[in-house]
Amino acid sequence: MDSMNVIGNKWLSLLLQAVILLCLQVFLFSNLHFDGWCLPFVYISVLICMPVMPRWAEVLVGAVIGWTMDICCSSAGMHTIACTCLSWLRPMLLERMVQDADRITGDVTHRSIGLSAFVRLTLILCLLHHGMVFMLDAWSIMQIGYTTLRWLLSSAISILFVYAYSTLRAS
Amino acid sequence: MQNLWKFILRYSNTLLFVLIEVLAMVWFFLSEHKPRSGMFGAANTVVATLNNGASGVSEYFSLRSTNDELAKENARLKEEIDRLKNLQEPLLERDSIYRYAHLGWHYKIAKVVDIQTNTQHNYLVLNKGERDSIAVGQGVIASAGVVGVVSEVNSHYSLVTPTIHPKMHVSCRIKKNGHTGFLQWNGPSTHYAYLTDVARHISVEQGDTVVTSGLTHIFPEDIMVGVIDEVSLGEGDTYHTLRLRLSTDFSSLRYVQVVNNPLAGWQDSLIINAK
Repeated sequence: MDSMNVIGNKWLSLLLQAVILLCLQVFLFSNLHFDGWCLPFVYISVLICMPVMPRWAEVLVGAVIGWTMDICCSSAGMHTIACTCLSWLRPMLLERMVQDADRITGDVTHRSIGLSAFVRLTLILCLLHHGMVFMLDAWSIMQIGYTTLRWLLSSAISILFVYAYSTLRAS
Repeated sequence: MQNLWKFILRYSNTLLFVLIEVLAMVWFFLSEHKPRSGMFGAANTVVATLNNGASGVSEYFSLRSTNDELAKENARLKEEIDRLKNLQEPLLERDSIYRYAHLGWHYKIAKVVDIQTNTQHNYLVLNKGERDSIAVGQGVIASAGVVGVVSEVNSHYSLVTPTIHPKMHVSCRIKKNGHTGFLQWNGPSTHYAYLTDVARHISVEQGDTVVTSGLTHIFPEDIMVGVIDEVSLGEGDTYHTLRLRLSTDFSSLRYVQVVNNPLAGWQDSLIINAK
């Protein structure tokens, strides 16, 4: 019974985090303009920091969060593609980067997996996710310079946010 | 059969991942970017409703500036009416053709309920649709100037492709000398766009006003587009590179007017006959 409660709490907490971050993304970060140069997707913090779960569950969480984002931004599958990919790759990267990955039970933060592994994980996943979204959004190589700059600037801000979020989760 | 099951069980995670990605890609490619119409019907209405509520609150706080703006616009329009009345009266007496003068442009006020200006495929959603006789191809303007063209409608909402969209080319005219060109936007800033097709022999200066040409029947003539902000002309260039500061501030857009010309059909039929 207790274990059921623990599992229930874990899902509830994940749901709550996802809702808060999606609201923050849709109502705040997506409306910050920076004159078109930068559009950070901070909601991926919840995917990067979510607790280790069975792989199918992680993929589904990624797909659902991406889909919700697509609905909110009318972006037709862009975020679903990127988020599913992110949540599919995360367990693989964790296995490579952390020696005894099975030991991690709670959230994936810089405390639980170590700062260097966490920074590398965030860097790879953020750049990958943002890269996919911006490339799908631009869908041409005509403005490759602009797209690249937007990608790098936005990723930088998102990475800082993910780190801040992880600090918050760890404390 | 048993082997198939074994295979599915063994690779169930991968299969789930591939399935979701394929579905998302089908969704993405079917909607093909243009107006993201795949979700326009259902989802934009969801966000539009949410934004409607949220903008109700923020609107309250900007009532004063909105009022000022409207008062100014009113004053300008009254002046315009007086001026036109004076012009119209002698004309009406002179020629019966001007009996049709009142069949000009129709304006419908609409509210912006959703706006996306920070992607490379920007859009606006207005709270009026087919029910209010909005149709695809009608122009959208605001008090400051040109906004865009209606690209899709459903019964209650309409989707507008703004001037700050790479595929939008509004026909413009430099006010002082009457030369025409096309407006082109390549991002990233929502405040600037370029005027193309202005040949090198035409004299253009910083500060020149650019308005709609009236050559198409999407917009009336002389609607403000922007002011030339930067003129550059290389040695071998045939055309000027003209950067325009757009008069419409998309970040504070609330109310717009959808314009249409009931006489447009007549104009079209002539062109078709000529072909």
